[in-house]
Amino acid sequence: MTNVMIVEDQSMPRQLFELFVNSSPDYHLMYSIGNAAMAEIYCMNNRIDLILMDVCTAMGESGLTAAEVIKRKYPQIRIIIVTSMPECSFIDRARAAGVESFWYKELSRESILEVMDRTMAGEHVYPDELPHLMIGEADSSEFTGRELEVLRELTSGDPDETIAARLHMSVWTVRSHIRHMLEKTGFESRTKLAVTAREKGFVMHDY
Amino acid sequence: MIPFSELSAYGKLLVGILFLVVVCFELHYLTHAVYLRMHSGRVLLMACSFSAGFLLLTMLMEEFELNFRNTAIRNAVLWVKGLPLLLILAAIAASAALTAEMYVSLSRFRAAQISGESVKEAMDNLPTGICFSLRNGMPLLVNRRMSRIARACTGDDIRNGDLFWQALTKGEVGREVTVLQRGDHPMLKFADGRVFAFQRTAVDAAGKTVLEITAADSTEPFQLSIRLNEENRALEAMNRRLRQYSRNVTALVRDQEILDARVCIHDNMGQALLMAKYALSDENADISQDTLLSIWKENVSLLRKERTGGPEEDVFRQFCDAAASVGVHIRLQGELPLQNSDAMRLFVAAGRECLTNAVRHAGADELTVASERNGELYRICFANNGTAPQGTIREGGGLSSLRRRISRAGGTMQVQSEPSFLLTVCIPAVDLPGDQEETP
Repeated sequence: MTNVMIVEDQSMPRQLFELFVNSSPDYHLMYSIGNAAMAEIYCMNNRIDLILMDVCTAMGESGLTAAEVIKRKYPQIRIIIVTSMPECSFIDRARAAGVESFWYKELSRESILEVMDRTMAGEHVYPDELPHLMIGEADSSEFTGRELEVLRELTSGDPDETIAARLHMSVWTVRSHIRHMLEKTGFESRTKLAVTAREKGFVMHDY
Repeated sequence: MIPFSELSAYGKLLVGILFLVVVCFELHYLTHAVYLRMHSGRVLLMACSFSAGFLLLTMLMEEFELNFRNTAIRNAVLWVKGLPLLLILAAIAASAALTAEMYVSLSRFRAAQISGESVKEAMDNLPTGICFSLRNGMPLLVNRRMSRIARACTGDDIRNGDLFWQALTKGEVGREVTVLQRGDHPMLKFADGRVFAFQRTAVDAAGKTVLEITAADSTEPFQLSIRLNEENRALEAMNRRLRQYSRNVTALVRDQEILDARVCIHDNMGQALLMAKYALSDENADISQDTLLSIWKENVSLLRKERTGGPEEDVFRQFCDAAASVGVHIRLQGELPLQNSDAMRLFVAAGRECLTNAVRHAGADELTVASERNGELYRICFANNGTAPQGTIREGGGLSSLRRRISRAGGTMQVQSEPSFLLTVCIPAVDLPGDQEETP
């Protein structure tokens, strides 16, 4: 029997996950919580085998950050990141943290139970490719890594100087990346670029 | 060829006057050259020419030879008077040419030299106001621009440089002048819209300390800075809207997730209905009543929860539940920060760190949280009932990370090891500016 903890802040999706877990004789729902910041505490003295971890959880707490901490302290616990956000960095961060599997709520072909089974069988289940989005006239795959970093910071609403300091680059480099992205997307303003990217979940600054 | 001595009296007078005029000009320019300390062969040549001319002119005077008894001198004077008129006229012309050349040389020499007048003239043409004064305030040089500025500021010329500077730094100026900045770098706006920035520096001049006050025309930079400030304000407002929008987008995405979940429940309901219909219509259907009942129970349960929606969970309650799962009871004293505030997030972060330490290192089963609001700050103390730490606690990854996070938010953190572990955090009660909701 695999002990499962669900970390999902919205009651409806959480209850669906609970339904899936309870419907399988191989899994036992141990905890179902809404705040990723609490997940680490539950892992301390409880024998949790698998965590279904949402990325954007209650109070703006990041499930990815919680997963990074848990994998560092309790590497034996297997984690499946579940999200509906196509943020391109989420998968990279999950891999870097040693998270076993990654599941898109709407896009993944496999059901969550399938992914859970394969994960517990020792597989790493990740989507074959990132979701494709159109940001203006540009496909999401056209953006370079550095441009994505600048775009992510741009959605924070901070001035160029702050963004440059955070990314350890000059203000002129930041502006140059923004200009290139405006050329690619065909947008007239950086605000429209930031709003569209954030609206589509292409980049998320707070998680 | 007519000798000079045979000229008529009028002819002699005319030549003498001509010679006298040339000699006078020679004397004038020679004196000027000596006054200007002009050093060149021209001055020496001019001195020789003047001496020779003066001597010749004297000798040509009527009956001049009668003043001398010495025969040699008398003969020499008579010899000069017997010189041909053309030669004397040639000598006068040569002296005149030399004088003209001296005039040109003097003009060039003057143009190449810096005098007090030329310094003043140059200063007056500067767009910057300048005033040089001694330490006691006595003005040495005030240019035209600074005089105008002084009259606009104080209604008078600069009588004392130090008093004028004091008036500028204190903003004691006329009504028509707007003080934009006081202090060591005063900035004033005048009635014509021009802006001047003032500065005073000490200059060492030939061993004396001279105070230099400058007034630089900063109209254009000032207007640009105003425009820049306006643009920055507009940009900041746009950034605030962007941050607020970012929050709204997160809420919208969550709504979408809820909608998707509802669609899923709808599908499950449809599936349950079909299965029930199939089981009821076909006696041989291989669906047990227990399975059917279980599916309906789940669906009804989901529908009930969906209808009630579920209130937002209390964060402190979540924290207590998490602590209970590891066998720790949370005892709260005082007032906690508001839900969904930055302070609450920091409280949870600090509480999680203390709870981890209480379980792992102290073996505690109770964590006391004492919280009080003191003006704009929450002071929250965490203490556990476990064993005291052995020696001073070294801040590892968790505590140092927490310290950084609290510090970034404008708060402070103190860790006490003796007599027992005590973590005290002071965190701002109000969210940082820029993260506030924008007032419509």
